[in-house]
Amino acid sequence: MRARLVIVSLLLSTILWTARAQDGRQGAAAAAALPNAAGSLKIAVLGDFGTGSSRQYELAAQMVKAHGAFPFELVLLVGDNLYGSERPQDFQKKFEIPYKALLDAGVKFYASLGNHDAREQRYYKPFNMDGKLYYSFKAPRQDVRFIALESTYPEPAQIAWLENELKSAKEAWKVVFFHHPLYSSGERHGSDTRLRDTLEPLFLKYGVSLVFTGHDHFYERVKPQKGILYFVTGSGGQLRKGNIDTSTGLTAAGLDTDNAFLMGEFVGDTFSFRAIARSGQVVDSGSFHRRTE
Amino acid sequence: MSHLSRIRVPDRAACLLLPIAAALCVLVSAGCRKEPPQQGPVPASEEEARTLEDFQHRIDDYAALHKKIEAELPALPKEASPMQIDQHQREFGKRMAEVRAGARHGDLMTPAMQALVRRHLAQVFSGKDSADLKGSVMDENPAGMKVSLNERYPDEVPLSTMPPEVLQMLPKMPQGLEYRFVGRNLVIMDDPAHLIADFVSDAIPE
Repeated sequence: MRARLVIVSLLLSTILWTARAQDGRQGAAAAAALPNAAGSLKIAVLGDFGTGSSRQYELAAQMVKAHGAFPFELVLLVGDNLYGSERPQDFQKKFEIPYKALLDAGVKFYASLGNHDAREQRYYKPFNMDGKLYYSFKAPRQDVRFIALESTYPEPAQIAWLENELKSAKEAWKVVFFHHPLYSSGERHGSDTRLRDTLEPLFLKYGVSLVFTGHDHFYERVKPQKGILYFVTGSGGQLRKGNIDTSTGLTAAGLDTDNAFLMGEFVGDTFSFRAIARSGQVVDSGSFHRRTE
Repeated sequence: MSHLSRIRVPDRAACLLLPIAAALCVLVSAGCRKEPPQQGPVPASEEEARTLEDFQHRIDDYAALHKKIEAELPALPKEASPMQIDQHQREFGKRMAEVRAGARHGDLMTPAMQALVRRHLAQVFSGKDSADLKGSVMDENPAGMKVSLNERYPDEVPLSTMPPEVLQMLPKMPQGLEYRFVGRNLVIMDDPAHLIADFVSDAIPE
């Protein structure tokens, strides 16, 4: 395995549902760590959030607080962006109001769609999907390409498109995000092995280093699989308490007792990350070096 | 030193040979390249081939109607407001339902096509990973929902996941139409109109 995982967290490879009893660093002070370097690419990742619940709003408030110290410029959405009804007032209640401060600050959200999302969300301007179910874009700084997939409908045309995108991408970092996890310790859903059989060979062949997914309603950092680092970040508004199955052996770190989002930073060949819970606790952190040819 | 490494090619000859060798390499690699497989079932008989051809005509007709209605509506911009999205969706659904008011189950998925789909899906779902495959399809599957032709697919109901090998086996849909499972039923969904265009009941074997 060519990738090196360097954990700098105080919670080294600990199963982090014990995190609620640890640390206790709060809000912006906690979020200010990471390299937080000038010229880096700063992002956040959020999934399964669009409930309109107090949990979603409270986590959104933590995101706003974190943004004050760590000004991420884009947020990757890994699907289930709006649960239930999708009338105009739902877009407000489940997205525009909770993240208003971030939207006002110019943070751009890039969505992928989950199984609870209507396909028409691709036309919703703040989701930056350009009318497409799957798409890719070059990051505004650092050598990073993001690729968003529509994992509920991996038809051959999408897979062929993905292969072309990966093949032609010249960026050092190839980062893919979508809803269904290829690796997850969720008792409710778990790893989508059908999708894994299709996508993983392409990820390996074309140098994908990082994958963000959701669907399972908790936070999990999966131990690197064949050199690729996978995150499950389906805890943006929904939460399935006690749902991480420790017997899978997949978990490097996890939190299934509170909602959480992920912050990430690209500097050269290193991706640093920090997961923040609704309580403000830092529940995971570390860094990862991209795969090299 | 190997025999081959001692062969010296004059520079001028190399200039001529190299492009030819490069072209040959390209041709050979293109010939060996694995093209993405075509989507759709391989007909097991002439009768199945005719059924698939007939289905394609019916889907083409539906797609033409879909496009006609779409062209009559104000275009949805690539960056739309929730109000525009909602109005477009509901108006599209209303008009499609009106022009297909007389539609019946089997108009798109004829009985012969339904039987064909069941046969081919039975093969897909009888492999060694069939339990896993079924689990994937039934994950958050809206099994309790009643399948009604030409009615709006409820916003509250999640969409089933369509595994790659299932989509690979089904005829390709034109833009705007998708396959989904509702329980064990396979439905053809008109996405922009949020309507169920037709379905195959009990498409997945028990």
